[in-house]
Amino acid sequence: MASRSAVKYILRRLIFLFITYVVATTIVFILPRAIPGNPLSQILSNLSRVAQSNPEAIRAAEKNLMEEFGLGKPWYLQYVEFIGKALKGDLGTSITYYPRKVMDLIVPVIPWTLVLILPATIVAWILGNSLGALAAYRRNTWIDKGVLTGSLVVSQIPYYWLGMIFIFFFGVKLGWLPVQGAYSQGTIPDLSWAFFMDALKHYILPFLSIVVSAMGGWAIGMRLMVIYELGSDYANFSEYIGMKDKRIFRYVFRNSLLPQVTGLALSLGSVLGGALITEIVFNYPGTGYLLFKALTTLDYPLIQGVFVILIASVYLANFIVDFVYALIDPRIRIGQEE
Amino acid sequence: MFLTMIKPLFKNKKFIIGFSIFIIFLLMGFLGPVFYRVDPTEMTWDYEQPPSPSHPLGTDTYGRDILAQLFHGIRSSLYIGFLAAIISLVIGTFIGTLSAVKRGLVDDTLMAVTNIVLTTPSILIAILIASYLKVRSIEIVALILGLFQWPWFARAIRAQLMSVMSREYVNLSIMAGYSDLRLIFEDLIPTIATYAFMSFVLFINGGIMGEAGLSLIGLGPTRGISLGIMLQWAVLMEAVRRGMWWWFVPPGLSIVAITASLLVISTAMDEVFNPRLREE
Amino acid sequence: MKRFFLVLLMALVLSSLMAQISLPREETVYIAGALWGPATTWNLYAPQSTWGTDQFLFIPAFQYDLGKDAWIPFIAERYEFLDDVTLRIYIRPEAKWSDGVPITAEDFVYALELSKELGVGPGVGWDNYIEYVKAIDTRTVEFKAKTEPLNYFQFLSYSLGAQPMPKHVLEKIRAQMNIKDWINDKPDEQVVSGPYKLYHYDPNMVVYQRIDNWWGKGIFGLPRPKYIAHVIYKDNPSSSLALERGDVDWAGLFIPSVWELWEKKNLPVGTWYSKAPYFLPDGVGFVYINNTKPGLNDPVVRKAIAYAVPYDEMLKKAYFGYGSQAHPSMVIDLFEPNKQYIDYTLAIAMWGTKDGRIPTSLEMANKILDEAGYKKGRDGVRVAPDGTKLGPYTISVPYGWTDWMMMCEMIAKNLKEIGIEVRTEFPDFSVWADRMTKGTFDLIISWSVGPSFDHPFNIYRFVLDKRLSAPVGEVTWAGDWERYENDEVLELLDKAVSTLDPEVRKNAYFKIQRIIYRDMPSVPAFYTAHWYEFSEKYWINWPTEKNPFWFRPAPWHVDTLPTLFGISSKNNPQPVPSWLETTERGGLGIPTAKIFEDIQKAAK
Repeated sequence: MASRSAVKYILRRLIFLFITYVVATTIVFILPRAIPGNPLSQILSNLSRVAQSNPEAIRAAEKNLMEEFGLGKPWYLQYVEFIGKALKGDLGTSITYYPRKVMDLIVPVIPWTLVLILPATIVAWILGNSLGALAAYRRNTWIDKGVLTGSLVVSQIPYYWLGMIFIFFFGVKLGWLPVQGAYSQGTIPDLSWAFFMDALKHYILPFLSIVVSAMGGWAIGMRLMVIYELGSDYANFSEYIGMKDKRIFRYVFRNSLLPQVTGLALSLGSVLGGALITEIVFNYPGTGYLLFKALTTLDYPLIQGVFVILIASVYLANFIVDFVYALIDPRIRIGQEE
Repeated sequence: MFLTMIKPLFKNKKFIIGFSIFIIFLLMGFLGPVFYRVDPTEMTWDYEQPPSPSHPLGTDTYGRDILAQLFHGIRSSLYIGFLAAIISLVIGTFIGTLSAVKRGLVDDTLMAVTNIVLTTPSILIAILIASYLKVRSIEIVALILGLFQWPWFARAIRAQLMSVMSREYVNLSIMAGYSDLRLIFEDLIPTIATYAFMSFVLFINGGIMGEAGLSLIGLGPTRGISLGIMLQWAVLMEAVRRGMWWWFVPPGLSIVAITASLLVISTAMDEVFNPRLREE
Repeated sequence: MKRFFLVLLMALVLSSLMAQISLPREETVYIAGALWGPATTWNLYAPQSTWGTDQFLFIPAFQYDLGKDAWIPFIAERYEFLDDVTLRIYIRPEAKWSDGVPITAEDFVYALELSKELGVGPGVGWDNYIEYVKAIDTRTVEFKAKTEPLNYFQFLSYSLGAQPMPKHVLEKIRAQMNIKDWINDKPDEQVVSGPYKLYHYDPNMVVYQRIDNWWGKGIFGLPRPKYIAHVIYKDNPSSSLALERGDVDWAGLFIPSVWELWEKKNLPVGTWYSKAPYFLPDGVGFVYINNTKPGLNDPVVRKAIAYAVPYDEMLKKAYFGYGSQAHPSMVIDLFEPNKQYIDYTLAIAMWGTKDGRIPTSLEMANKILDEAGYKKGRDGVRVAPDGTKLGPYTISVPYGWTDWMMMCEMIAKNLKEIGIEVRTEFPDFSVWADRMTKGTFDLIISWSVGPSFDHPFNIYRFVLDKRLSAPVGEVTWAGDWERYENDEVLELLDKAVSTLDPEVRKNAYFKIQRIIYRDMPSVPAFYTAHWYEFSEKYWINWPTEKNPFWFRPAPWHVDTLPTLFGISSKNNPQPVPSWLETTERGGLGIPTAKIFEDIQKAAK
């Protein structure tokens, strides 16, 4: 049961994450304003090409937009406004997709990213740790060597490049699976069985490319952890008193898993980064894809919005992992902190 | 002393394999452009050609020679990796040792900063910073990447030093009135040297991978060629779905080979120097 | 937990009963190249509406036909000039909004007044040229031109091209919210005048559906595709790949070596011309030279630069031959009606070539620089008698615009040879745009304006009218980026558009050309391409050189709607409707010349 110390631990983490979040959003806010340049140039250049024959229109639009985005105000006022609105869930208005709200653009793409990244990360974590433990358990056998060598190489393959290889091999060469998108062109997403199957078919390759390349790192880490633990005093002692191998291994496995949980929390950021790029490679309509669009058009409000959401979700996931950690780590459970 | 330290390494099979692969790529980066004198940026009419005698690795959409790009790309990717690693190492060592030596408020503040950076998704922040810089040199990209991968190293250094500092000889030095700086350089740094070297190798990996990631979303160096930029062009021009394997396989393969060989080197060193991992 | 799974199971079973919704391929035209990101808004009172809004949803009173230089009466049935500055247009009795409410004169007046009030919207800026717009009765709108300044071209394009907006809908919206925030994305609530309205959109795709009982059915027939769907592709290459695979029927893309699609890959894909230049011209690409920079402010230097630009080589190598060298008069002479505005005798005498285009001649460039006293220093860079050094300058385009980047390299190389030191620079788009609009650049390649009803007035004005400019350091997107100043040009421009006499207009243009050749404010370098490709896998009869029923056939162009009336499904070939012809040939299009005659008649 969660004791007072567990609650204290969780609270401390919560406060820490909150502070970190404030720092991160402040950076997100300050950066675009610290660098000179007119954020409106993209939209104005589009206008100038469309409204070629009436230059008067461009003049008017320019004035209009400056006011609209509050670019005339001092930066601290803009900041207060930004935070105030962000707390209400209003992340401002996109420049490139004006007058769409940043929130309206982000909300429809988030499910796609979640559906891709959550299962893939969890599956990779479970598979990787199991493999790593197995390798350590059978240390110096061919299983160990195979797992280690394989993991060392596979863990260094960027998700997106593995994705490219998969697309080329399974999609282009063999023609088994669709090569891009989250569902077939011309279909309109709904809750039908046919759509589900269609989406599933498109899901396999991006999912696999994340799972396969993320697995390696976990396997290496877990193998090391277990080897360390097997060499620890309590394991030696248990062996000495004649405890069964399997039983010792179970303890060792549980103890090795703890740092891996923390590792999961810490890796979330880079997993997310990798997944975002994987989305781009697959033309998969998730957050990474939207971010890519925002970056190529320098749509600062949209970039900011995506980051505020992404960073928040990484912290949230971090917090969930912390929570789980507090539940399973006996040291925290019984109030004996590091 | 250095030699005796190195010697056992070359008895480790893993190390030899990793080291040789790495050296091969290092040589490709250094000597490739010297011997294969083709301008990687020159656009020709032989575009999208599969490998042939005149273009051993084919060409891209603008008729630029892929092999020439690969050599230059390996060179700048390694450069970015090293640069980022040095930056990370310096920052990490600085913060870690300062924390360990000064303790108290300094330690608390530095560790708070470290934790903040550690929890913040660094690739995202790097993307953010890069997107606001309109002109990005290779060095700038390395700097952005180097700025965010030090925290775990700083933490480990701090922990290690703290345990070292509770030992006798350090206390003796302190009693002898060594300055902080002298203490750090004479007593502390040597104890973390192996660990630092292994981390350095991993930082290089971080730099190379980070550059590729940034480049793929269009935020890599705005001038020059790197492995990431090659991949970016391949993705932009749909090389994958159009079946131009010679364009996206070599740069990716090089990234994997370089980073994996470095990882193997680091793992092998761990096995050699870390008594708990030594194979029975 | 069990209950949760039960619910999930039921949801799955239920959903499997629903059929998957997908568009019928044979009845859908898939499009690429007009939309590169999520849809914005289907409301024209915003700085940028989603592609399709202006093209298919809200149609004008008269639609301008560039190829035949004529005006097709869409919502209006005819016009009448009361005198030389007063125009009445009469609305078709059939014209109705998609909710059944008739389109009235009030809708025209409301639309324009709202644009004026908001500073954004259809026809914004009209009040610079039009004194008033008022409803005479429900079906008659009256426009009166401003006489100070009097500009017939702007007057006609604002009035004939006016788009009515549904007043009864907009008034309700305005009572509830700021109209600029209105997204108008509910297909059921959209009220439009055109033959399509929104069917579905998500971050991946925007689909319009034909209104089968459209009011204009009896007059124009219906556009052929039932659905038009724009899939939002990541970028150019992924879109062109989709075109190659037959997933896209209608595209507006830059495709490297487009001819290979049919010559090598044997795909049923085509462009306007089946041979070079493959694409219609869409505008003039300029090498803008900053008239305020020391050295570059000397017309001799600018003229030398004009001689040094490797026009042919650059177009062939960097542009795949998709455009030809621009005429130094700035007039797009690829359209027959435009040729009358070029003083060929002058151009030929000036530049010594067959049609008066500037030859690439480093010799000539060197010669005129030598004559003006620019001497080459030891580093090979020329120095003026007063000590001004010609360089180092930069020539820049945004990073990633590969075709233009290549052009910059080639121009810089040639300029170095004539002793002007120029480095290429490829900054980020916003940096580049900032330099361009603030006038802080040295040399850049950039766009200007394209063929239109008021050509070449539009391009002279864009490039030469200092009233559109701003002081160096202040942003102007409107025009005159190189900061050229000449009051004589202004007078000539005003004269050209305030006269009804074609000869006077022509003479004004001729005089402007004389000034251009003397001052060479910037170098008109090449015609940019009107990107347009089609696939005949599902749809045929696309407009081409051999089937030239519509000259703005790119899906992204605002005037593209008639294209959809002319194409047919492969299984059901139909003729091109005859109303696309001019009145002389039994169609509806009223030639611009006839309109000017009518004004002249009314003036008397």
